[in-house]
Amino acid sequence: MPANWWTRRGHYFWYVVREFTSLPLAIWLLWFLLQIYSANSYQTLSKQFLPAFAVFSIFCLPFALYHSWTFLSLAGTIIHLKLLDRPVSSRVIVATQFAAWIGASVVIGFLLVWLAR
Amino acid sequence: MPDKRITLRATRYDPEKDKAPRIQSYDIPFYDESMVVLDALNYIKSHVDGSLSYRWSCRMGICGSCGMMVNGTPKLTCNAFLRDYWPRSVTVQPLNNFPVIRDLVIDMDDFMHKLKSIKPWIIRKQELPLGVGAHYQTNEQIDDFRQFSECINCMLCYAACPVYGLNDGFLGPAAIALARRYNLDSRDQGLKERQPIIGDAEGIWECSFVGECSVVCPKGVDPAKAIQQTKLDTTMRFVLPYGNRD
Repeated sequence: MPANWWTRRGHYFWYVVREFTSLPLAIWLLWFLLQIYSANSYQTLSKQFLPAFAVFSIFCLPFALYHSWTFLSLAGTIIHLKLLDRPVSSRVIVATQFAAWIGASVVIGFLLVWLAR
Repeated sequence: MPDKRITLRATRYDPEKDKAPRIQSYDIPFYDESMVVLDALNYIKSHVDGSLSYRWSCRMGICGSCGMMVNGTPKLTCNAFLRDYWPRSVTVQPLNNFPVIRDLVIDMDDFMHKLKSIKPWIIRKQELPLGVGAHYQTNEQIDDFRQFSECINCMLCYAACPVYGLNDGFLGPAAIALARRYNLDSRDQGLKERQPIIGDAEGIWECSFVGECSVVCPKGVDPAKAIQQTKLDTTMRFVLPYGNRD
């Protein structure tokens, strides 16, 4: 196969983008862990929060959102559930995944804001 | 009104004469809106160039013989209507990721070998005595695997799969979907026999869920779904206590 196989079709291209999103997210996580490691407390962490990290976080946000969106959208394909001997619709499975994602995001966001006060 | 015509560009390759495949153009009449690419190939073979080689059989989308690349997309040529391409030309090439024997004919030995490796037959630990009668299944039991039994072995999924294109050791979408079909069959007891093949590094775990196999599948088998569900089932059998029981 030629090296540019992934440019031939839109589906291949977005697949490679999806796989690539792991790289900035991995770098972001390592950087975040470094910041936690170097901070003595949460107050110190928030004071030491680098502008560069903030900019990088904003840069990584669309990658994280796309990665999450594609992963959760495929949950209905991957998960095969039966309830009372009837298969659960893939749409229901996907909806619960997104609901859990939004719920977890709200809870974590609330905790972060509350701890920062 | 002048007769409509369409240009078909087909790969030509005779290993005894040609160093590499080449494209040859044919200008043919587009005499019916219901014409498909296979009709065009048959017209060429009958009236223009009898040396053109290609596979076909049922001409109605059930045998899986006529799979080729049509304008870069793996398609059954009996199901690719010329009206969807006209007035542009149609380029017909042999299926990607397979060695070419001649013109549009590919070597499918690797595919056949992979299909056979997953043991696509009912495996029983103990055969039921004849006197017991037929092994009945409910509609729900058949529905469990019905979708994965629709495969016509056309190999379009292998032509579309970039993982198979990069690594021909990959077991592939159709073989794994077929394995799942038998593993889900209530009559079958052969999951443990198939597991070493499916669970191999070049089995389900080589798949990275591109999903193009399911996009091109003409029968709606959704092999990508079969592979991902097999990954989940295999993992749960490994993780759960007594998950690997019969």
